[in-house]
Amino acid sequence: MNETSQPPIIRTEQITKKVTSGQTILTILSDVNLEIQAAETLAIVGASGAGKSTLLSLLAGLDLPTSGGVYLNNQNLNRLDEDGRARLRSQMVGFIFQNFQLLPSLTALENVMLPLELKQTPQSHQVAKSWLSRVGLAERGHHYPHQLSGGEQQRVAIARAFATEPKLLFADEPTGNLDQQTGQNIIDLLFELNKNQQTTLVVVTHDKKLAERCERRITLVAGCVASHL
Amino acid sequence: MKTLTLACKLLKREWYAGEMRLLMIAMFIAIACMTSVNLFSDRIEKVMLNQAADLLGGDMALTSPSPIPTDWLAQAEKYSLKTSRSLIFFSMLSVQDKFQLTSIKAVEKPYPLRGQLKTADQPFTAGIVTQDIPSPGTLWIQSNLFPLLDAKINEAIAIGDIKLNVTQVLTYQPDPPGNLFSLSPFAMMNMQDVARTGVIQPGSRAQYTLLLSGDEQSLNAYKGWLTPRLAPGQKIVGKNNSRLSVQNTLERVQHYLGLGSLISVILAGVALIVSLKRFTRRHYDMVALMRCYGASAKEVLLIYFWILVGVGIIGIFLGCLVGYFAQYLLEKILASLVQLELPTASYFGLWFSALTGILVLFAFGLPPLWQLTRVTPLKVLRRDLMPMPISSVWFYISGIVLISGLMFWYTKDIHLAVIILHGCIMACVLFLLGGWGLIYLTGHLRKKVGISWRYGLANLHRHWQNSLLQITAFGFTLMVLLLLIIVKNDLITTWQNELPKDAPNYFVINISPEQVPAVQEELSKGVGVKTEQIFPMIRGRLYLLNGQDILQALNENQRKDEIFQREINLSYTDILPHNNLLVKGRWFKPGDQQVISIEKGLSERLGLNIGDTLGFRIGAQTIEGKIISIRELNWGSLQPNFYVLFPPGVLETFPSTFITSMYLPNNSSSIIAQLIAQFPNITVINMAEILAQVQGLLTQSSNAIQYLLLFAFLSGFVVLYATVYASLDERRYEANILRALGATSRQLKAGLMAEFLTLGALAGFLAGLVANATGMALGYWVFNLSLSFNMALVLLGMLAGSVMVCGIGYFCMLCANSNK
Repeated sequence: MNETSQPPIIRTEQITKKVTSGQTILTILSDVNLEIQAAETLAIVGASGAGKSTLLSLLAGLDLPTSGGVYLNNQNLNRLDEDGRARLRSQMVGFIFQNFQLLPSLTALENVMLPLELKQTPQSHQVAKSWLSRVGLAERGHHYPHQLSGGEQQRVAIARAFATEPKLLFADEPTGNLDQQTGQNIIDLLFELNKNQQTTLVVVTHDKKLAERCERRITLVAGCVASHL
Repeated sequence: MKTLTLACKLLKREWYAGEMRLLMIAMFIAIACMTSVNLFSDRIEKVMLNQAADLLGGDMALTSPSPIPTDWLAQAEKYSLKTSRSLIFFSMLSVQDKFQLTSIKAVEKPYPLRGQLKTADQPFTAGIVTQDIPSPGTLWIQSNLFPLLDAKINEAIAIGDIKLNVTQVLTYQPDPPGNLFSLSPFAMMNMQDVARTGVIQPGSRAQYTLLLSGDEQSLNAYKGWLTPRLAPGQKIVGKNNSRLSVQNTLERVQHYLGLGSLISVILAGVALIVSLKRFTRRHYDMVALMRCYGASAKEVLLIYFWILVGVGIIGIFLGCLVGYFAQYLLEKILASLVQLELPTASYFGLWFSALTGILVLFAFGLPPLWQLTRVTPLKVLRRDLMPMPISSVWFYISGIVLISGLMFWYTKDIHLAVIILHGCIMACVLFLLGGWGLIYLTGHLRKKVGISWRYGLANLHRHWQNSLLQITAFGFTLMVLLLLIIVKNDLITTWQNELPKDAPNYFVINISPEQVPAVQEELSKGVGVKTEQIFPMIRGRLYLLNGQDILQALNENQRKDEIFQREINLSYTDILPHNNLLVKGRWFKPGDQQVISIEKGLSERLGLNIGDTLGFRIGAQTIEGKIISIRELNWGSLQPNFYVLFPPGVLETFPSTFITSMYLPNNSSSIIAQLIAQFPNITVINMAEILAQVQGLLTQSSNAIQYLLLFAFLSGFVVLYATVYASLDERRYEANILRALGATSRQLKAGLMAEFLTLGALAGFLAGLVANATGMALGYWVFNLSLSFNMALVLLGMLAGSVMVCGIGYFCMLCANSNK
């Protein structure tokens, strides 16, 4: 337990993830213990194949550990079925992805509206519009993803992630597909919004600059937490 | 509500993506086809159910092969029933040297008691309702008789011994003939003139009808009085009672049209599966994202379910709209076969089509959608994660259940539905196996052809599942089309070719016993005339088997045999007719009594054997005979043929007429003219006319089916488009690589054409083979004809298949590329 009185928003207990590949069992994560406080920013770093994205998927309840427990907002994710975890995510989780994950058939505005509509947020159109303008794309709402640059697409993804005002935001390599300058702009935008919204931010990244902007960093090596700063 | 709202928004956004429109078009074509058939059937149904009295010409009718006793009419009047007598017979009408066998109805006032007559002043113009009937000395004839007889209004037409003036064109009458002869022209005359024609003699083939109308109670009371008095061959026809012959024809029309429309429904289902598979595959990322943002599996399924319903509703609505108008064309094609004025359609046909559309949507559409519930949210991080596939068994089961249900609905006969379903499955298996073999073989040709063909054949080979689907979809439709050509042309041509050159081409019936020597003498005078044996005909009803009521002794299927629907012709002879072959037992010996010889097919159908005794009711008497021989005979020989033959000395005392057939060289119409002039009661049937009528009937039926096949081809188009569209991403990727390696647009197009050309040719080749095989089987098992393999049909199939698939395929690629 942390020294503060508030319980952590995420807590993991000895989580291990193994996958079977043919006859071989591969251990992707091994005995990871972690606590993340509300409004904290945390970077998960490590080499490719170290298990960063797997850890992120377990923390967000997109997957379940082979053993050990993940507690999101004090709820044991192991005890929830797929739909139960989906409900929990809809209440408190947002995502930003390396490849943006914008739906090509929807406009920028419609992409931002999607999680709001799923959550049945009233006036989702207005809310989405205001978020697009906050990321500087007020005039590009009717454009389709293929009509936007990589940086603009990631801005749309950031607007979509913040639009539902999640308590917890997971970002998987948010600057991975962007050039240095655009990446820097995206990092600035992400942290500015995060500061304003007081969101807990968990970022998986290779980007040192991005990792350094976070309050805490953990380094994974071969599925184990090697350092905790 | 949340899912519905989301679905509406998604549908709006996804509308311009190809699959949605494809789904809609597939539904639209299938529903348009079904609606046109259903509405048309519904109108026929309405006529049969609600206007039975109008069809009949009265509330009830008594039909009889002999004149109706006058005291029966008097009795009807005692029950306060209105009565009207009519008489239907076949006779030759002639104007100078033109002859035409015609179905004639003689009527008396008031006629009809229900329904109406319509006449026109000039042939081939619309008729108006008339309250009159032909006055004595006049004749009303159908439009198509005018050109056949070279007749004009107010011209005299000879019928038997008299001439009648044509004063009106008969455009509509109740109870038109509904059998094979429905295509023979008809005419109407006054009952008072019948005796003067001399056509009707004792024993002549004619149907006497007493039409009755009145309140239900009186009708029932009269029916109660009449029933015990009915002689064999007499029957009461009325609402909720026995069926009119036209009703049987109409019902068959309904069945075949319904089955024809099923081809488009099946193809629409296939198009639905193919396009939905790509649609769902393209939506895995979206679903993963929705799951990631908190949508449950149920919500995802519901969202896509509503999208499917939305697209389906648009397709169904448009299909119903177009189908509504398309049915009028169907009506036009089948006009002379149906011969009825159909009422406007009720909403039932529309509702039924819409319901079928929804069922098609669910049966074929839900299984691919179900796959979406298996998309894991983890896919947002690992794009390679694909949902676990659902068993494809459900695709087949849901589709087959629906199609079987519809087949049963259209045929109302589980036995027939099962046979057709088996046939369809067998044809599909043949197409799949044959297609697979041919694709495999063409794959080997790749090494021997140029780059474009190699690319085309490689595509065909690599997308073998899609190729098989396309070959089956197009092959099946082409096969039906080619089979129609065989039925329409080859069967009759083969039969005609199989007949010897001097095979009989005329039947002479209704010869009274005392006329036999004179008729035979007259015919022997004709140069080149070759007559066959002359046979007496006595009408009797089969009703006993080994002393027991035969219907009770037989099983349900056997009881349905057409032999029990009517009186059969019995005959007697001491010489085995020359086209008959004794296959079991022995022929009659002098002095044989109470023995019979039966036809092989009849013995097989009813399970009869040597030693069984059959009883026949002739008039009021019963004649029994033990089966001592079974004969095989050629029904297509154009000679008088009989199910049952007696030895001489048994049937001579019963009233009879005689029948013979003869060969008359061309330009012998003077012999017929003389024959009719001398013996006005006899009927001469020209087989060429009957064949022309059969061919006309087949042409009309096949035109209607071809019309429906147009929808099937459109559905096949959608299947092709859907499969091409489903492989579009891959095709684009390959095209880009080929371009990067230096391939020109021309080469790419040539590759594509090679693929479609081969696909169409393979489908056409298989269609030709299966159609030939089906035609030969039909010929052998049903018509007893040995049809030769028609290679031209295979070539025609290949040509038609290549041209169509190539054209459609190229169009698909153009459309698909413009949708980039």
